[in-house]
Amino acid sequence: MVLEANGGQVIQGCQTGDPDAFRIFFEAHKDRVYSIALRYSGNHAAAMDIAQEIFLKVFSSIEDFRGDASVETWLYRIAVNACLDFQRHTERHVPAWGEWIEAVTAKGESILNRLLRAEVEDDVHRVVATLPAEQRIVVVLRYTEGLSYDQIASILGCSPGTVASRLNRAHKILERKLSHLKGMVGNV
Amino acid sequence: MYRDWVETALAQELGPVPAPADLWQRIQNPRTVSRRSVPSRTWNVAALAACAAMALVTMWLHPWRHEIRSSDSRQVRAWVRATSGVDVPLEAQLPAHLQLTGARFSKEQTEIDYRVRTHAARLTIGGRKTASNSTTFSWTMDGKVYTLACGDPEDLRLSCGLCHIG
Repeated sequence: MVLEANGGQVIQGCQTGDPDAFRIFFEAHKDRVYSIALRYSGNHAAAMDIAQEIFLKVFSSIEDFRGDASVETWLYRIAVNACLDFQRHTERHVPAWGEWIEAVTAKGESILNRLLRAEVEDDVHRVVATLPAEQRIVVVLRYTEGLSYDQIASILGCSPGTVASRLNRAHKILERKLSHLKGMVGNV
Repeated sequence: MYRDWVETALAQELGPVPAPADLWQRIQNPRTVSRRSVPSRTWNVAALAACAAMALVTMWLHPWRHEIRSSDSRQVRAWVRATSGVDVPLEAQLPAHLQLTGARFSKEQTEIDYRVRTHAARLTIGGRKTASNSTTFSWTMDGKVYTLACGDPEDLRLSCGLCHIG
């Protein structure tokens, strides 16, 4: 029998301390959790810390899950809180030499295109990492998870208008700070 | 129109990524997450070397497979449950005289460390049942041996508050 990760049996299993249920739940949500943590923090080490906090929080509070919201919404709320709580200062991410080597040795593209792509990628991540926390988390939920304004509003406990406003402010900051990429985006 | 190229850039660069293969191992063996400012590189290197040395000494003295340092009883309970499968019904809100300090797990047994007033004490799950006395109390529940060990008879009585209010 295949158990659905968000189904009642797995949630009940987690609530009664079944390690297999925890593992099924983890496998179903690990990519989502790590992606949010990585896109929010901008670096792998911080993302691992945040993902650890998210899953420990999930496992320690799943007894309190009553199904008032969907499992995804509940998980997103925990993820958002873990990201916002993560107060550690992060150093500016400078692309490691290995990333450049990887970029220029990747097959199928010209070296110039690879370098340009690496530059776009690094600049976008760097500038997103400088956004104020409340704007950054909206950007991550919108572009990493593809959530609607209504879904983001439900997770953050604010109105869709507030979500639109934060996203709009983030877009303006990004437009200003990434203006040098304007002609490159979509062409590399 | 800024949205065209900004949204394209965000959609291109912020997409989902697969989680690293070692994330599950990390959850089972969590690290204490520092929330302080990042120190200088010199201090990072020195701290790393010191931690590595301490880890080696600790592993040599106590070959535990997993360990958590936390005073949060819900977190400790969840961690013990996820790593050992044993659900120790620790109270979410412990009395003021009790404070958890962490837990360890090996093939043979699980140990939950805590402090009673100012004294260190330990709850062990697994291993052999020992004779109870004024500072040690051992019992069997659900086929597992539980042993409370304290340095003071009063601490042993107060230790009931780990799992029982009142």
